[in-house]
Amino acid sequence: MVDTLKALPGFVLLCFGAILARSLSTLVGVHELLLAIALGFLLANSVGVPARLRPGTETHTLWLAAGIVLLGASVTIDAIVEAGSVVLLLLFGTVTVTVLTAETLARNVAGLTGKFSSLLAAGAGICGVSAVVAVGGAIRARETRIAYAAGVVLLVDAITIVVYPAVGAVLDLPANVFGVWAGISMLSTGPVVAVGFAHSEIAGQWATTTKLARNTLIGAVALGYAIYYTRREGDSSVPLDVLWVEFPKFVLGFLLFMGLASAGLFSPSQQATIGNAVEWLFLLAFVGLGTAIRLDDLRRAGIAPALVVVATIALVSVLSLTAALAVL
Amino acid sequence: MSDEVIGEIFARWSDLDTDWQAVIVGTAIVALVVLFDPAIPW
Repeated sequence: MVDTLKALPGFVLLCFGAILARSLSTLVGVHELLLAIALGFLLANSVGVPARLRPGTETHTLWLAAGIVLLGASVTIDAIVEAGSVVLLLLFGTVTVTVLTAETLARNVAGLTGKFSSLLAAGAGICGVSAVVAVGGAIRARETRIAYAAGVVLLVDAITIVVYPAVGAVLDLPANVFGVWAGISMLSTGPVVAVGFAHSEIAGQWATTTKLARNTLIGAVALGYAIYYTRREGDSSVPLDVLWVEFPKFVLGFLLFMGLASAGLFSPSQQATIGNAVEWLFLLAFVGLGTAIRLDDLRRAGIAPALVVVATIALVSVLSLTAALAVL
Repeated sequence: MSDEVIGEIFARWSDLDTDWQAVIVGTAIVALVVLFDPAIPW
């Protein structure tokens, strides 16, 4: 929820950061979206974001979701249907392997407790911090554990933002392969969209679409974990409402505009204008996302849980990239 | 619009889930583009 008036001062800061990122990107040779994250990160970890600006900088989730809703207007159903079944197979396979690997490493190698391992597995397997919070709520995990797992996810997000574009450039990956690979194996939605569009427009569209499909699994995964833990604690009820409560509703907006675009309702000129709006919304979102990455939080997350997620993502990245290169 | 109505709109907006706020923001931008873009196809 966003309280409009309280958010205004911080929103102005996001606008300033977005304009700065766009102006400086050519000068420093870094993609504007990655530069936007870097600017936010530098600000938050140097002078810090004043308390009265935080309600505004925390609106980054709104701008990211609104940008994704609009992105639907430039993605046509034809492209999705063409590679749909193969990508869906890759997606389900990757999510399953990620959750099982993270659970196994966390419980059997790092010796972490049951619910904490599930938070890490959900964060790595589905959609980063959102999945940690959703599953944490569904299985009634302790708040400190949820915050800890979210810190681990942010740390791994920061690593993937640097590593994925580098690997994509070194291996000279085709746009669709890079986009699908980022979409099925990276953690949070923001970094996936950023590295996708930093690679190319096509990669960005594939990364976003694949990641959205993956995000829709959050309700099912949260429900699965909720059933597992309630049964283990002696309760046989099935909390089906988790499915809708945790479903990312903005995906419905994305699908609506994808449908309208596929029906030819937008002219090329309108699509170009909407595309500009998407770029600005993402710039706002990523400056805000950068301010949310705090070095203190990353340090507090500790080494063992971080190693579990890094090892999981490293393994899953290699497997999913190999699979994507073979079938796409 | 009176201050009361504007206050009510802000309050209802603040109560909305971020996902639905995003859908409204996106729809508003598309509506503006369709209404004011010179190349409207219909």
